[in-house]
Parts: sequence; structure tokens; C-alpha cells
Amino acid sequence: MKKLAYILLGALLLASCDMSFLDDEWSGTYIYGENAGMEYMFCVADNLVVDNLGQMETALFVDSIHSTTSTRFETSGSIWDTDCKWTVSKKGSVLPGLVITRAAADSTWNLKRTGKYAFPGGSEFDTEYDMDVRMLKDTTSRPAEGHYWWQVTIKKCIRTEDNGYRAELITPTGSVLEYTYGRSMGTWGYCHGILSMMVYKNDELLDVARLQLNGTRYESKYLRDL
Amino acid sequence: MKKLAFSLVLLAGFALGAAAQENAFNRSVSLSLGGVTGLDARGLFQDNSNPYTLSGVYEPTWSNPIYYPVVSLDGDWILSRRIGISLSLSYSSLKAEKLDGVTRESMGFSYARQLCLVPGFRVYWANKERFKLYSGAGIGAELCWITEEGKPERKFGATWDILPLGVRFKLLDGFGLYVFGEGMFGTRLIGYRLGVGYAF
Repeated sequence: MKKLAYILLGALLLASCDMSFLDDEWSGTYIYGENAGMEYMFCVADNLVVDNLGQMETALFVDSIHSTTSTRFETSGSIWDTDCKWTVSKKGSVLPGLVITRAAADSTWNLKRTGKYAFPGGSEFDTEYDMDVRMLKDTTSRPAEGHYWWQVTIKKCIRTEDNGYRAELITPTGSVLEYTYGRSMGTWGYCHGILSMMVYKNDELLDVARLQLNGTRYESKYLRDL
Repeated sequence: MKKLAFSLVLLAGFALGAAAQENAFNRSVSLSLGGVTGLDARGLFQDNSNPYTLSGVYEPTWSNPIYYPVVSLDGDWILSRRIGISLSLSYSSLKAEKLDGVTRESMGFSYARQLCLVPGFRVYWANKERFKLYSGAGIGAELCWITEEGKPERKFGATWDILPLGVRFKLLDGFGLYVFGEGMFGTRLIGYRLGVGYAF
């Protein structure tokens, strides 16, 4: 009986030590304080922009197989034509209403959309954006088929939320977001560049933040309350 | 003085005993405690932090709401072998610490309090002097006041509850003291409440 009691006591002590070590070793990132708003900006860089680049690559793929029966896009000429205008059909599951036009001869397109966009957790709000995306050369020894590296300039991105909140995001003058690596359409391993955000409540400036993307999320730097 | 107080208590006891012999214990008053306040279901003072919305980042949030059990004062009147009416006055509250959304520093405590007055009816499935089994329902009014940063906001509204099953045991023959337990759900109480009462 005594042995059993000692074993139980030992197990309890071990479990409590284990719990305390778990507490000490937690090395995650708090989502408040100096990091408040960081996840939000990552959502723009990792979700919104990436979804748009995914649609851009889909358009290039559809164009490359000379499909005239795409239900995803309403098309006008080849995606490479200077006066082309491709619009994601209302029936499309991702970003309906997205308009892709050729912006410059150096493989640059302009992407514009006004409509609902959902962030993780189902928070769906009106989001209006205007961005230029420039195709870059995949410099790896084995470039992926139908997949590219991209340079993104966010000229305008306004997200209007509830309770009078609004976020305005841009890539500051002279900076771009570069999406590189990744082996399949719509996915990239790294993002480098700077994104800045201004948060308003009832049209009054509440916060200014800047996210410097240095490849992986853990190498990135975030500053707020600027 | 002590003798006088003792005599008065004794006299009151005899009077109650004598009264009990003359009636059928079909009226009663009771005090009960228990259940989870219906304020719980209203989503007040929840942790609403969400890194993917601006409100979730910048609006205040709350930490660990504490719900206090519902205290009720009830009066029952058994009208016939099967039917009775009731009137219940109850009070419940909850509190939670309000935190700044960005810094997570305390902004003080927020409180919600609910006072309900609910008339109702009872159907008695078993109605013996020492044992009663019953069901019931009630609909009434509530006064709910929410205090944040010292500023109270009052709201009137309707309230209701359903009592699927209640059971009452009278402790002694000829004496009105009883205990009871009831399972309930509605806008003022969810769960079980236990109490003590006196029938006359």
C-alpha cells in the first residue's frame, strides 16, 4: 500500500515538473502588445496576395493551353496582349470579380478587385485593392513548370471592417514584395519585402505598423505604433 | 433577556406547530441556490481577441468570467391536487476582468446582474404531504444591469423558464419544513437548484 502511495506521489511530482517545464519552454509569439496586428498583416502577405498570384498563374495556365472554354474567366484576348482584360467569373470559387489587365510590357499585370474577402476564422469584410504583379525568372536549377516568381507592388488595399475599423495597406514607395521558391502553382516558400499598414477607427488614425518580410515568418520583423 | 428570547422562539415554534395541524401545507415559501445564471448564454464579457480582425486586435477583451449561482426566493400555492401557482424572485450575477485589447492591461472589472420576477404554474404528478413530484413553467420580467468601467446600463426584458422536474421532501410530520431540488432551464437559470422551504 505504501509503495503504491509513493508511486502515485512520484507520478504526481513528475507530472507537475513536466507541466512547469512546458510553461517555461513555450516559445511562441504573443499576438498582442508589440505584436498586435502582426498576424493581420501576415494575412495580407500570405493569403490575400498569394490568392491573387494563384489566380494570375491560373490565368497564365489557362492561356497557355489555349482554352476558350474556361468557366473561371471572362477573357478578352491572350493574357499577354497589351489590351487584354481577364475577369474571374462570378461562378469562380476564388476571388470572383478580380480583373487582370496587362500593365506593362515587362511581364507585368495589374490586379484589381472590390468585394468580400475572408481572412482565417471566417472574418469576411469588404476589401478593395489594386496591385501590380511582375513575373520574375525562377533562378533555381530546376524551375517549376507553369509556376513563377513574382514581384508585387500593392498600390492600394483597403479593408473596411465592423465597429468603424478600416485598414489601409501598401508597399511603401521603392519597395516591393518578392515571392520566390515553391514547386507548384499558387505556393511560394519565401516572401521578402516591406508592407505598411495604417489602421483607422471612425476615420481617425489609430495605429501605423510596418512588417518587414525576410523569407520565413520567424525571420520577419514587425513594428507598430509608429 | 435571554430567557425572553428563548421563550419567544419556543412560542413561535408552538404557534407554527399549532398552525401546521390546522392546514394542509398548501402554501409555502422557499429559498434556493444553484444553477448557472442565464447571463452565461448571452455571451457577455467573452474573450473576443482575434488576430484576424481589427476589432479582435484593438477592442477590449475580457478574461475568465466568474458566474455566481442564482439565488431565488419562491412562493408556491397548491390550488388543487394537481395544479399550483408560483412566484419567484431571483438574483444572479457574473463578473470578468476587462483588458485592453492591445496591451492586455487590466481596465477594471465588468459586472452583469440580473433580477427576475417570474410568475408560473406547477403540475403535481405526486402530491403527498411529505413528498411532491412536479413540473412547471414560468414567464415574467427581468431587470438586467451591466456595469463597465463604473457606468451602469439597465435593461428591462422578458424572461422565462421551464421546470421539467422538481421534487420536494417534507422532513417531519405536522411541521412545514422541507427541502427540494429542481432541474430548470430558461433565460434566468440553467441546471439544478437546491433549496429549503417552509409550508403552511
